[in-house]
Amino acid sequence: MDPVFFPANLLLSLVIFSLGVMGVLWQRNALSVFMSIELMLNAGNLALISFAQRFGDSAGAGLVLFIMTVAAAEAGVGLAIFIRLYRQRNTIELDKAHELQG
Amino acid sequence: MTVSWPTIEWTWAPLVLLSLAAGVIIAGDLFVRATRPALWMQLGLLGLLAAGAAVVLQIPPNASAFNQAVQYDGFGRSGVLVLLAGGCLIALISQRPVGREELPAAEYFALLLLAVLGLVVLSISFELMAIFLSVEMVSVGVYVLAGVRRGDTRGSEAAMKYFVLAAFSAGFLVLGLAFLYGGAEGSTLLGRIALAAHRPATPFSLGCILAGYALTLAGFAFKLTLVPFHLYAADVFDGAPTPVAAFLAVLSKAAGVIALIHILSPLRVVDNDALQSALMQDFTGLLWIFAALGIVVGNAAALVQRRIKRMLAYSTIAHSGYLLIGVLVFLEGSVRGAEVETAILVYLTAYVLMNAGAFGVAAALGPAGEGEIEDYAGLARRSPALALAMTIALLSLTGIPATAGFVGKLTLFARAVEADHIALVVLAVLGSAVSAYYYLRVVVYMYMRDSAPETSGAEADPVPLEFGHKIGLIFSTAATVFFGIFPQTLLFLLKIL
Repeated sequence: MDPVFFPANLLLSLVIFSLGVMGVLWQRNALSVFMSIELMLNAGNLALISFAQRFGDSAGAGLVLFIMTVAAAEAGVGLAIFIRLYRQRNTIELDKAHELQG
Repeated sequence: MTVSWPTIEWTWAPLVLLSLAAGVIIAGDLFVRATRPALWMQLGLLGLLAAGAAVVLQIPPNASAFNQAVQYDGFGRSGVLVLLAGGCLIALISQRPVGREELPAAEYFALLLLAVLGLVVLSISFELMAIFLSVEMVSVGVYVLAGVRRGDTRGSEAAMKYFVLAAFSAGFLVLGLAFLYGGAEGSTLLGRIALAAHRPATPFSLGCILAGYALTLAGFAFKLTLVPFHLYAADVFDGAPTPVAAFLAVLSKAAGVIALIHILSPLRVVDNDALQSALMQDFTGLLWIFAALGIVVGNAAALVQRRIKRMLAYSTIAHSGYLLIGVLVFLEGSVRGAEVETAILVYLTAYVLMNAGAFGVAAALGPAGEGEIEDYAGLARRSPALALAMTIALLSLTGIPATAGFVGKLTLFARAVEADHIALVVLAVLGSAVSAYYYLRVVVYMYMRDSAPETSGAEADPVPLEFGHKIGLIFSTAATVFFGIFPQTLLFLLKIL
């Protein structure tokens, strides 16, 4: 891969990452927040893949596979938590979950 | 592969033993319908103790495996032992809440073991992939554990809050690790990253390493509940089952500190490298701010809490501030690294013991001890033993002499004074003085107030405790006092084990 184009991948990854962070901070629906978190993770994946490509090293690509697997496991548990919360309160708006404050 | 036996690769043994115990518990639950949680608790203890024995007996310091990806350096190895001991204590104090609330015992103890396994891997891994996987192993386990009370809306809310924030921090961690990988020109080993940090190939890779460290630090800041990443702590501790809160407060923080030292150690100034010290200035400045904020915000917020677990949550935020002073001193390199590491280990041991005591008493009291601080009124009359255990734990958390907490603070702050961090130490000592107010308030309630008339009838008789729970409380309390009076024994133990 041409080294000149290399930072473009990273730039894209940073843009996606920032979108994810903004999503987590501004979205109020738990599912949208979770989707934004997935964006952040995949931005990291993109950066890893770019570096792996750049330096011709396969460890980064391997790490991406692990991250995707872990993200899937996290989604499994996280969605179960959201479903239970929805059954108990009929909403998964994060703002509405404030039984514990104070 | 420096150390390897022809038949058994001992460096794996503790990890295999822990996962084996978890597997046996899960599989056993299919065949044995145990009505009491005691069986699974004992199996879990067996796994933890066997893993500890494997480390003590078969793994010499500085053993390594997987091409240096896993290293038992002296610090990490002792850290693993502290974590395993803490795991035992938390398993012991889990027995009562699990039994009383009829939580799924096998799943609970299996997940607890797997979470401890994750922490053990985290404190011995010197490779990015292992670091990420172990962090996630702990997180996913704790998501389930935090919400393990099925019908409880507060538990669900705690699980949801922990899930969202831990996953958010994992995002930072992943990008940070990606940049470290790029900065090291395509290597995931911390050793290589250290080389790249000392002799960066290009300005670009130096930038990558800096960005990587900043993002990784942000990722770990959530785990360590550093201010301003601490907001979830009080809610999660309050809503999660008490032993799970203890796990988060104690073990995940201890492993986080150990991992943070391993990860940041490449930045440590070894020779008087101009570039290196410029790098250090930025990071130590950042850590200074984190430590100071933790001490100030943690202690100030703990003052106004009315619920015991929220108070303990803010107190652990203050304690991570103190611990961070240790990390900061270690990174600056003006004091010998081994001495700082010993000081941190002493502090961590004390921290594990006294928090296990405090959370253990809260767990033993159940609904009467997990809510408002006012519920502790008159506890000394109802169950003097529990009140005594709580008092010792709280005195130790304050840092009163003749307790382990005092020894921990003394050794840590002494190193900080050696490194000329007078301002931070003054702040920390002031923070400890302030903390006496909110810790001792509970003691005052226990000994000097009478319980409210409506509760005194139902709970007048002393709380009968399970044998295991009792052992856990006695051990943590006795060790808190013993190490407080004979600190040399703790140093000796850390050296010979």
